[in-house]
This record gives sequence, C-alpha cells and structure tokens, in this order.
Amino acid sequence: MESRAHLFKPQAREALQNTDLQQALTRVQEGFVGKRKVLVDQFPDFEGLRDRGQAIKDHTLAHLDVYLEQFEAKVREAGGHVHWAETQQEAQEIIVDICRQENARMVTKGKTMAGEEVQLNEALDAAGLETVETDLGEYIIQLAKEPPSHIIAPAIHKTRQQITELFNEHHHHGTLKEKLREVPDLVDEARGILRDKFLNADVGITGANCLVAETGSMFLVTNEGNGDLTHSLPRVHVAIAGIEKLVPNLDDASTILRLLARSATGQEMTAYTTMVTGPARAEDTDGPEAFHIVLIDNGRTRMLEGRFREMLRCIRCGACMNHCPVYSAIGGHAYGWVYPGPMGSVLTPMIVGLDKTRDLPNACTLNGRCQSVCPVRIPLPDLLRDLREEQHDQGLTPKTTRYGLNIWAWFARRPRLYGLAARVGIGLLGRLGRRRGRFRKLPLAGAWTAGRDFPAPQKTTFQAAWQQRKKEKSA
Amino acid sequence: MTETTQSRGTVALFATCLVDLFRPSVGFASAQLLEQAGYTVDVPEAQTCCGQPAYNNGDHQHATTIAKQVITAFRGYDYIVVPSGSCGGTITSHYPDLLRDDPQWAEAARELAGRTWELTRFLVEVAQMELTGLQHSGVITYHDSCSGLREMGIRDQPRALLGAVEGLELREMADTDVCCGFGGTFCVKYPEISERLVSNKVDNIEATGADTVLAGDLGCLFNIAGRLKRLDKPVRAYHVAEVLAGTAGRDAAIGEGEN
Amino acid sequence: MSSARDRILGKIRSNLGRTTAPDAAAASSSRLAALGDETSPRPVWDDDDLSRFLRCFEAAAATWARVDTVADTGDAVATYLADKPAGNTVHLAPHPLLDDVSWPNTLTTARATHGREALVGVSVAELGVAETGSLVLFSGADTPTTLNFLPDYHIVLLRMDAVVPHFEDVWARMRERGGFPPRSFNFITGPSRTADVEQTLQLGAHGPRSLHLILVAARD
Ligand code: SF4
Repeated sequence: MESRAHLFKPQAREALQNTDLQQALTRVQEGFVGKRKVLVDQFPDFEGLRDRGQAIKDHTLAHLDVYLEQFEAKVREAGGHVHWAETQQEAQEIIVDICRQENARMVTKGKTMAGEEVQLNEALDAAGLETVETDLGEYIIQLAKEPPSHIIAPAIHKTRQQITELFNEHHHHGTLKEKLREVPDLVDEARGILRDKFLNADVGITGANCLVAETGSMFLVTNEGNGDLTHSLPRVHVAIAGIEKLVPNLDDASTILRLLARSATGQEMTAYTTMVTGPARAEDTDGPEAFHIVLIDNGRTRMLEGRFREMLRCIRCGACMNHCPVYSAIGGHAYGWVYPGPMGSVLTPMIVGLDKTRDLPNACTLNGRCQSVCPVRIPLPDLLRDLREEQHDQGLTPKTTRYGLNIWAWFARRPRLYGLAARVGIGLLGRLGRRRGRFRKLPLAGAWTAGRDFPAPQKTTFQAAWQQRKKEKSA
Repeated sequence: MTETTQSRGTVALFATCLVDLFRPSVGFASAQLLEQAGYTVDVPEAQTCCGQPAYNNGDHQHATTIAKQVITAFRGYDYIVVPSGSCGGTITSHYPDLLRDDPQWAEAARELAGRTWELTRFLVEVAQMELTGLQHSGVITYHDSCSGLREMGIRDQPRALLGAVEGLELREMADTDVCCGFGGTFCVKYPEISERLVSNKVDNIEATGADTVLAGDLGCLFNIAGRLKRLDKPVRAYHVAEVLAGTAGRDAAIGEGEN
Repeated sequence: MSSARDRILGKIRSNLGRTTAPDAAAASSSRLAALGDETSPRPVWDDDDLSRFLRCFEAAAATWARVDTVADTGDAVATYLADKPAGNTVHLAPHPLLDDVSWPNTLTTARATHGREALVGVSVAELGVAETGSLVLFSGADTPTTLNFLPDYHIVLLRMDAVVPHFEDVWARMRERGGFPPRSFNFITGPSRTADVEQTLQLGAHGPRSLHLILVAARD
C-alpha cells in the first residue's frame, strides 16, 4: 500500500474518536498480553532464550551473504527456485511472471507481511488474477479493502457487527436481515467459501516465518491451517520472505519457534507449524510440483550498515505493539503503512523514508515496554531516538520544537541566569496559582491544558530555598 | 553543609528541573531522608536540567553540552542521588551512550553513572535504611514510572520503604507498569494521545479506591495530577519521598491549593 | 547488467564492511564464538515425557485414546466417531501400519492419496514432541500432506515410544534419515483455530475441526 504515514496526526485523532475501534482495541490487551505473560513466567529461562535469539540473529546478520548463498544452494538442490528482488517492483514482476507462466487464473494467499510491503495484491489484481486472502483476518480486510492493522491479527480493528455486514454484502448480496451474527457462524461461512478457493487455486503464495540455511527450508507458523492448504493444494507454491528471516540451522530454528509462538499469540506452539523444503518429491502423493522462493531486499541491505542492523533481528511477533500504550490507544491504521506500533515506527521510516514519516519516531513516550518484551531484544526506544537524531540533523524536526529546545538549552547551560529567571517566573506563577493550586489555562501551554490542569508551583525554586536554608543553618 | 563525624559520606542531590521549579518540597523531603540515613547532603548550584529534552528530541549537541556540565558539577561526591527514575536514567544509561566515542569524557560519564542512584533505590540498597515511627493513614496506590522501572530497576524499593509506614495500605492498580502518557515533550506534541493514556491511568487509579497516588517521578505525577484535577477527582498525588519524609500532610498535594 | 542477486549480495558485503571473500568456515567458527556449544534454553517438566506430551496435547483442545495394539485402532476410531456427524467412511493414508488395523464393519475404509474427498482422515505420526504436545508428520509416499488439513476429523496414530522430549530431538531423528527433510514437515498441535473475529477462539477455521490421537501402546 502507499504510505499514509505523513497523515499520522489526523489519523490518530480519528482513531481516538472511533468508538468501534476503541472497543476492538481493548481486546489486544485481553487477548495477547496476559497469555504471553503466563507462558513466559512458566518457561525456565526465558531471558536466556531471548539472549540466544538475539545472538543467533546477530550472528546470521553478520554473515548474511554466506548463509543466503548456502540457503540458495540447498533450495536448488531440493528442486526449488530462488529469486532475488531488490525492490518492490522487482518482487511484483517476479511473482506475476511465475503466475503467467503457469497460466494461473486463481491465486490463494497466506498471510505475508513482506507481500503487503511490496503491494503484491495490487500487482496480482492488475495482472488480472483472482487473488484470495485465506487467513481469516486478511480475508476480512481484503473484503473491506483495508490494510492490516496488526501484523499478527490483521483485522483486530473490526467488530463482529462490521464483519457481519461485510459478509452480508459479499456473500449474500445484502439480503440477510441479521445485524450481528455469532462467531462460529461467521467462521463457518468463511470456511465454506474459502475451501472452494483452496481446492481450485493454481498458485499458492505464502510468507515465511523463518528460513533455514542448513536445509534450504522455510517455516510457516499458523493456527488456521490456511497456510498449509495454500502451499499443499495448488500446482505451484511461491513463498516470499525478507532476507533477514534466515537462521543458520534447525537448532536455531528451535529457538526462534520457542520465542515466536509465546511472544506472538501466547501459545507454546501454534496449531500448525510447518517446515517446507522444495517441491513435492517423486514419491509424494500430493503437494505442489514447483516451489519458488522470492527473497526481498527492499531497503534491508541498507539497514545492515550501522545501528539499525538491530532492527533486522525482528521476527515479526507483534509483542511490541501489543504492549505499546500508543498502539493500544490508536490502533494500527493511524501509523499509515503496513507495519504499525514500535517496530513499524522504526521500519517504516527506514523503508519509506524519514521525510515522509516525520511523526512516527516521535509519537512514542519512550516508555520502553516494547523493548522489555521483544523476543530478540531490539532496543526499539533507542532506535526511535536515533531516528529523531537523524531528523534533527537533517532539519526535519518541526520549527517549534527546535526553537523551544534552543531557548531551553540556552538557559540550561547558564545555571546562574537559569536560577534567576526561574525564581522570578516561578515566584509569579506560584503567587497566581497558590490558592487554587492549579491552572486551567496558561499562555503557551495549550497542548497541556487541553486535557489537564497545570499544577501550580510552590512558592519559590528549590535552589533558592536550599541556599536560604544553608544561610540560616550557618548563621 | 554540616559535617558530622558520623557522616556515611557526602551525597550530591540532583534535584531535577521539575523539582527545582515546581515542587521544592520533594527536594527537601529527599534531603531529609538522606540526612536521616546518615549522609551529608549538598546541592551543587551549577545544576539545571539533565538534558533529557534535548536528548530525546534528537538534539545530541545540546544534550552533550549539558551532560558535560552535569559531569563537571557533580565531580568528587561519593554519591549522586536523584528523586526521579527518568533523570536518573538519563545520567546512568544515556550519558555513557552519548559520550561513548569522546575520549575525554567517556570515562567520566561512566564514572558518574556508577555513582548515581535513584532515591528509593539508594535508600534501600545503599543506605539500607529502616524507617521507623512513620505514620500515614490512608489507602495509596503506586504508579511505576517507565524509566524508573525499566532503566533503573525501581519496583520493589519504594514498596519496601512504604511497607514501614504505619496505617498505610498499598493497593496495586491494574497496569501499574503502563506509561501514564507523559513522555517528556510527547505530552505536548501529541496531546490527544497523551490524554487518552493518562485517562486510562486515572481510571486504574480510581478503580483501586485509593485516596492517594504516589510515584517517584514528578513528570508522571504532574501529568496524572493534572488529569485528576481536570476531572475533579478527589485523589491526591504526592511524590513518594514526601510520604516517606512525613511531609505529605504538611504540604498541599500536587495541583491542590493551600487551604 | 548485474543480476538482482549479485546486487543484493554486493550491498550486503559492502554494508557489512566485508573486505575478504565470504567464507563459510569463518562464519561457523564465529558462530561457535557467539553461541558456544550450548543449546537453546527449553521447557522442562518433572514427570515423564509421555505425561507432558499428553498434558500439552489436551491443552491444545485435542483428544486421545489409548489402544494396546495397532489392530485395536479400528474399534477406537469407531468409538470416537460414534456420536459425531462424520458419516461412516474413513480415508486412510497409504501407510503400512494401517494395514494391520482390523476395521469394524460399521465403518467403510478408503485409501487416500490426498484429502480432497475426506471428511474423516486417518494418518500416522512419525513422532510426538513432549515440550509442546505436537504430533510430527513427514510427508511422503505413506503420508499425504493434504489429508492432515482437509478432513473435518483428523485421526492420528502414534506409537507411545515415539514421543521425544524436544524439537532438537526431532531434528536429530530427521538427520538420521539422511538427505533432505520431507517436502512438508508438519508439527500439529490441536485442531485448526482462529481468533480473528473479536479475538474469540473458534476451532475449525480452515483445517480439521477436531484432532484425535490413537496412542498405540505396544510394538508389534
Ligand atoms: S520488534 Fe521485537 S517485539 Fe516487535 S515484532 Fe519485531 S521481534 Fe516482535
């Protein structure tokens, strides 16, 4: 999708006023945060597991070229095809070409954030293919023509009523009277419709949660089983993955699997965790004849240089957004691109451009809760701060912030003047506010006082009072 | 400065700009607690702010200048104690980061970080203070400030100290570890989002039925008190040091008038 | 013009500050330095592996029954299906172990090389993993992958002695087989599920609505 990250502020405002969305967002907390915590507490050494996850990823990234070549050779040996895409456009062309060569008419898709990133659906639609998202959440937002609002639960912003309406419109031509259908009923209806698509698709496209250099394999982690129906039923399976998804070997994959399910959905293991290696073998009785994997760069190689390499450890678990108070307040769409929340606020500027995403690094309180749950210990607040530094250095910081900071810094560097000005200003403010103890309005503090009173200061500054006390004591 | 032979060392109090400007009573309460614990307290005059606003807004040039100023002002003290996890965290985690590649200052930054403590943690872990004879009747709830919790490891220390106060009941709120929405300049750059976060916080505070909310960071407390007062809630807000020093009853709560 | 592959690998090398040619030996020795010989921290349990396996298996909303011999499987399947609207045809994976089952005449059996027609599918798991309560199925001549996902009722046989403690033991077993991993290597932990509608858990999203294990006690 085209980035709308430059519209963060109005989008956030709209989100805060959207009562359906606010109702839906309470479920992020209920659904993910508590379940994760139970499992993390149960695990004997979760901190050690995170350390290992970080070490594996850091090691892989430091030797990414070696492992990618190893991976490529293994996929080939297993009879699969490896494609490399430097840009969004290249990724689209590769996949559209595969579909054309296969004379495909219908394509089923499992959830792929890399696919969202390179706007794959738009490209497939433009090529005249019928493209069906099969993850229920993705299917719902495909009907609604919306981008995902969460990387694990793409339709988390939708209420049951809205889903009832969507299904009525798309499955029943608006003939149903019911305004609110039960969950099993809705799920079953989608199951029936999508089953037909699975059975008739020519090409199945999936993402990959993890790639393994040792064997040329990819992991697919789902709960619905849609990923497995997508890769095993059509003639051709195409997988799309960022180059950073790689780990050296299967034992490393164990670490990632242990981290991923716990951090993402609060499960020890999802219902279906599948390792796919190449196309079906001669002796197999089903499975696809051809297997393609498209490795995506799209800005990732740039991140290898310097501090932002740490962001490439990301395993796309979504824990950072589940624990983010800002995400919980505004949901994913306000962020304006495919990756929301803390990880998105780092990734989107890196991929889309810092000048088009000015708010993202700033719309964060730096509270650090995301970092404390990230399974691969990405220092998200530090990276956001680094992006702010880049913005500052490139002159992308708003003028008001820069002027404010300059005035503040001028005083902060001159303790005597600062003390004097503070005493005078505070003395005045203190006298004005003494009786009530707070201000409902203050000049220059409109942003604060829109929703909060401004507590009045006590009589004088601490420095002044302390010096006074010192004098009295020595007298 | 009153040097006594029994002094356990000299503590430089970094009051923080918010305490200096808006709530000197927190500075005095902190000094009183440190003196009670047997330390000599000094307040270096050359302190203003820790530089966090610049640092968090990507203005590393100003942040660096101020960091060096603070390092200089606090040379030679046995300990630096800060009644704020946020400003404390700036000194302990971010100064060393900021000056990492400066051969002249890197070591000094690390050295300062090693001597710097958040108030409650200092009282518990260094001073091993046992509070006695303190009374404060009422039900309180405690908000964990984000930097205190995650950068300085402050969670159990204030609770342990409060446990020694007679008549005081601590009722934990839901999501006590979730941000109140202050976030330094965040609260004025994104006031609507900030307001939502602080409203959630106020809801959780109210749900405990506590009459007082405490925290170890004046930034959070101003934000929370400001929202409480805007909504005309009767809950009072104090810095934890004020309750521990026994001065909370004497001084009006944050955002309350003098009557 | 260079290929995208070469450009990507080139950028990786220059952004990593690599001056020498990539070297697999250097990568693996630095791997040892970074990660040591140690293995991943993993779940532990006090009781035996089978108990842990079954506990996790049940927690994933799956059911199980124990039989003494493979031959008894037929009755166990019939009992399981008795109160379900599953018809009386079961589709069997072309697995040699299933040749030994004696099927009650209330059930009709059909051999299936895929799951397209199956309402009830019976397959054989290679292993069980105690740490997560997962069944492990390797695709192959005797195990069609789609039979694991298309039926409403998925019934799986597992020998009791095929339960291994951890993922790492699964890889070890797989490496013993030599060559490549099977095309599709499935860890299955409970029936299909979704929480995409209002975070409400609903079983039977796309795959099986129920997963039933027949645990075979004896090696015969
Ligand atoms: S940044 Fe960390 S917590 Fe967030 S999605 Fe990536 S791995 Fe998960």
